[in-house]
Amino acid sequence: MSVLRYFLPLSVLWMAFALFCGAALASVERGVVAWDGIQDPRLRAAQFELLMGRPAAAISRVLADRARGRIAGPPAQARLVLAGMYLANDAHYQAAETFYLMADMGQPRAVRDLAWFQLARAQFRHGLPDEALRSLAQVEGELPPPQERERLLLSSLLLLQDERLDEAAQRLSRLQALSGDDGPASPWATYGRFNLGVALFRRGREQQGRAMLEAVGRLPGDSAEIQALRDKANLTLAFSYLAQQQPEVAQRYFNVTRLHGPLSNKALLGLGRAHAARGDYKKALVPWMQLVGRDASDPSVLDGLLAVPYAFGKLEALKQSLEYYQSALQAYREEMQRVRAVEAEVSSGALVEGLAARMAGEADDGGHRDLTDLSGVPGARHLWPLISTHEFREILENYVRVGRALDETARWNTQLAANASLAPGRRADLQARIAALKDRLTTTRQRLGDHMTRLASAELNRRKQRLVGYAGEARFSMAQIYDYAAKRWGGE
Amino acid sequence: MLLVTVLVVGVAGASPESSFRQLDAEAEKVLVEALELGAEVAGLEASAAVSSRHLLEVVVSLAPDPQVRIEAVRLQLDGEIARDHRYSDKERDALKRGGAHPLFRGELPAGRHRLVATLFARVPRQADFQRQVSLDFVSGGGPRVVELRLAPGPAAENGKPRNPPEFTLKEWK
Repeated sequence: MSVLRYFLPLSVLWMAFALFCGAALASVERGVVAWDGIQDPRLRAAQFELLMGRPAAAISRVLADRARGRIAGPPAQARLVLAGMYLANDAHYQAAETFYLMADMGQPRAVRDLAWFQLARAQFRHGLPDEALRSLAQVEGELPPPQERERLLLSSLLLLQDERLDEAAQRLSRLQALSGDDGPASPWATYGRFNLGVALFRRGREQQGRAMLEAVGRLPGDSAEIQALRDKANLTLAFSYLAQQQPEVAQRYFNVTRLHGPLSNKALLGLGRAHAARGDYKKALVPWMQLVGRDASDPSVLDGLLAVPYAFGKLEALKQSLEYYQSALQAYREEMQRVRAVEAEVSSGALVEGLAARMAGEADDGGHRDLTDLSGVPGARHLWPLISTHEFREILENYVRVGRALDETARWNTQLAANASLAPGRRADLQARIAALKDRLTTTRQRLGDHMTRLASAELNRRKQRLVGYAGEARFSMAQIYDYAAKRWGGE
Repeated sequence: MLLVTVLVVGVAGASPESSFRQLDAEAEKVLVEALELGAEVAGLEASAAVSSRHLLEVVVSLAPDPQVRIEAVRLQLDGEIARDHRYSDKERDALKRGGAHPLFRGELPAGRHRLVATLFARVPRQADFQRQVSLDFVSGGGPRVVELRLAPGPAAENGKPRNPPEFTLKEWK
């Protein structure tokens, strides 16, 4: 189904997963594992720093103490604690290497399981679905309830993406059973069932997929998550029926989708299309007219701008049709200007720097911050869907961290200069290493910035192409109207 | 007219995933190098500032006990207050999860010293629970870590209220 083809790429999964799990994710720090039975007090002091949200300071402490041979207890404990700290600092490759080398980690099962789960979360965020599944497979028992729900949801989403639908369904059933305390409409289980329904559709098991989406679309519950999932399910069903030339059925589902909220523009557009498909253009105009008064940066609104004059044309109200085509062209021109302005902000680096400054402003020393308020960041409104993807977010976080590390190198040079007890040879060696690292950091930062700029430019290009297409359609339709009028009422 | 209607719920990355992964891995590598070099430089500075022979570190830890709430710890060295720390909820949580609070780190002159630590806590039926521990030691023999630990008291006999928590001192060398 073409309607469903944009579901389930990993970047989208992450965005949806993160948005959906927002509160739950916020309650579990990124990858922080509280190890059991750590003997050395210095290691536990570093762990305290970590638990206070300062992973970089914690790592620095362990490395320094280890270099001076001051850590007592089994060396494996220091390796494990350090790996956990790297994980909290988002250095998941480094953490994975140690975790896989230390099979049982010398930890109780519950702690071990939590560590593997945290690693899987990081790998998922960093676009490594296979590695995330492999790490999840290391989890031997049940996690505490909030993490267990997240684990089941995460593994079902990864399995869906891997087209292992039956295994995903199994996880979702367990999620449903576990979420029983939340009532029949557990947001966690519902979110999973929605995704499974979509995946079944994609695999051609339309009847099963439809049944699952219908169940989601009928769920009781007033929570924001359940309402949003109900809308998603109903809208997906509506568009699928519309694509199968069944506008009456489609209309039923459009009618139960809320006409406010994030999916309302799509619902208004679809409802109009359902009426139009039945030849009722007057009724189609009602939702479409409502739609075109909204923010033109939304693709549904851009579609609606063409839909309104099209309906007037069908009603033979050619004057209104021409007027609305003219308005549409004007709106496309204005939107094109806005997109070009954003493009200039992207090219100048203002978008990346604005986002980095916003993220660095309130981030912990691991560089993490929820970018929920982007007001005032140049171009962010147009690029919000892109900025929400895991790829963009992780690259941006790396960009901020590398920037901080660059600032640190300047501080180290000052410290070395002030350290009178340092042997000249040692000082020269360290200064050379700092200079080499600074070069690598600068290059990496440049590449990260370029990558974000490329992603943003590609997205803006797609928008521009879409606008050019819309404008071309508007002009072509206007020419057809003039042609028709000339033939009908022309001078000959 | 063609009405293009696609239910877009997100924007897939424009570049291949592999390019993102490569860049992500490269960033992690250089950031880990930066952390390691930073720790080395910080270590040099600390060594320059504090002679490891005379170094004293004091940490505070606790064994989780839902009935006890640590409020503050005061550290006195040779009769002078060296630290007076009141715990926040976040710090209490970090302690409960196995972290040890680094209360003090500093160099002491060679010779005899006296360390006195006072714990302030809330326990059932005693809002202003206090305990004190002390240690006499000689500085100069190498770095020394002192751990102050709050742990649940031993179980009481049948029917009697539980024994109060214990505040102990352990010296690590």
